Amino acid sequence: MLQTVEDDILLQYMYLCANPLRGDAQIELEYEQLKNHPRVTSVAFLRPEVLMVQTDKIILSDKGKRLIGEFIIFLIRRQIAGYWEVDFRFWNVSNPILIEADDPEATDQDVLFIHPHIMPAKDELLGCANGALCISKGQFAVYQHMRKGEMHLAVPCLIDILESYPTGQPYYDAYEWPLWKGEKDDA
Amino acid sequence: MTLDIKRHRSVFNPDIFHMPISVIGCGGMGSRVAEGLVRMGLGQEGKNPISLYDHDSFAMHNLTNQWVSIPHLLKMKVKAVRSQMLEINPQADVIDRPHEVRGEIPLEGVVFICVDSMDARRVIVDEVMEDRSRVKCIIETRMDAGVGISHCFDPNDASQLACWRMYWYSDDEADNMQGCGGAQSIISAIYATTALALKQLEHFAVKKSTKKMQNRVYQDFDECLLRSEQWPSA
Repeated sequence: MLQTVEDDILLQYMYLCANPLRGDAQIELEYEQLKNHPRVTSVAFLRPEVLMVQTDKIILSDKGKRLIGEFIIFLIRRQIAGYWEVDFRFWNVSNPILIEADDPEATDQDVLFIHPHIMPAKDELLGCANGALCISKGQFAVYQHMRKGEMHLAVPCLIDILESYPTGQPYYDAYEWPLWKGEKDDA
Repeated sequence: MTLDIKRHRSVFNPDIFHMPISVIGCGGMGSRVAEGLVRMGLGQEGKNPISLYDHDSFAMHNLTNQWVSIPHLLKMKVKAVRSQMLEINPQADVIDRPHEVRGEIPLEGVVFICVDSMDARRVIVDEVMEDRSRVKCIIETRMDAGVGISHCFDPNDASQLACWRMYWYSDDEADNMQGCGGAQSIISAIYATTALALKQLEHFAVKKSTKKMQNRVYQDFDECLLRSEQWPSA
């Protein structure tokens, strides 16, 4: 029987999330749970060790409900010498804010802000512009889930974090993003 | 005078436990583990001698958490702990090694890893124990003020080793977390985590194996929550 794209993604997911404590059937259930998360719109792979999870609109719960945009969350899990290295990155696919350099001739460069609390960065691991979230202590729980291949638990944590507005200095002020006025604005 | 162990002999009998024991790190966890071992009647010459490893000395701030009293301040931890162990059982066979654990003397039997950094744990398992064929059981503890964790596994079992490695993280990550020799610790957490580790030793002693036992025990002290996990065996 021909293998569908969906089958292929599931196989890659099972490889990515391999864990001696959980069998294939359990991982398959967790994959379904991830896909069925109400905020997740699609799941795909950039590379075998990089899962991409797309979200619907991220709207900050604070700051008068700012529409930040739809995100791709990159979840990286790879095994090196028996140990798991994990990390995550973000990309705003619909509503980033570009700040152009004042003087294109000078060394200044354009900067793309994708979330008030995500540091603009270009990542060699992913080979594209993306951002690392400043979430301080929150990252430990997410890393723990990822190290165990529990992406279905890590992603909801990350979506919650994207939608909240942590205290402290943002990289770019939330007020620069448009106010969210409901689905009718989409038309 | 010999140590009278009649109150626990039916639960744990050190006379039939034939395996050397090493305690790596004699700080908050390691000194309490060492105390527990000698009170359990371990440290019998020719049966279950105890080796202590630590390169550090006791300082004033250790009085709150570690097994040390004022006369032992500024002494090497292994010397002071050994001395206190002998006050409990003068016949105990306790070897003090006042340096970091290295590979010159191969580790064997049961190894308690009670060090305060994640990187050190990894070095001990992967480098110091490069030849780990004589190690039958590792009991590795982590704790801070709110959480205690004890892992008990056979490093020669590929599946159990893979499980342990899955719970390893870098020291950078540990700075943002709970449960790894964090800067914040309190005696209640140390006692509770020591109890987890010594219970795992009891279970290992009964089964003579790390199979079919709770290999990871996690306790959140503030939430009064205990979780445990049995790891598969290769």
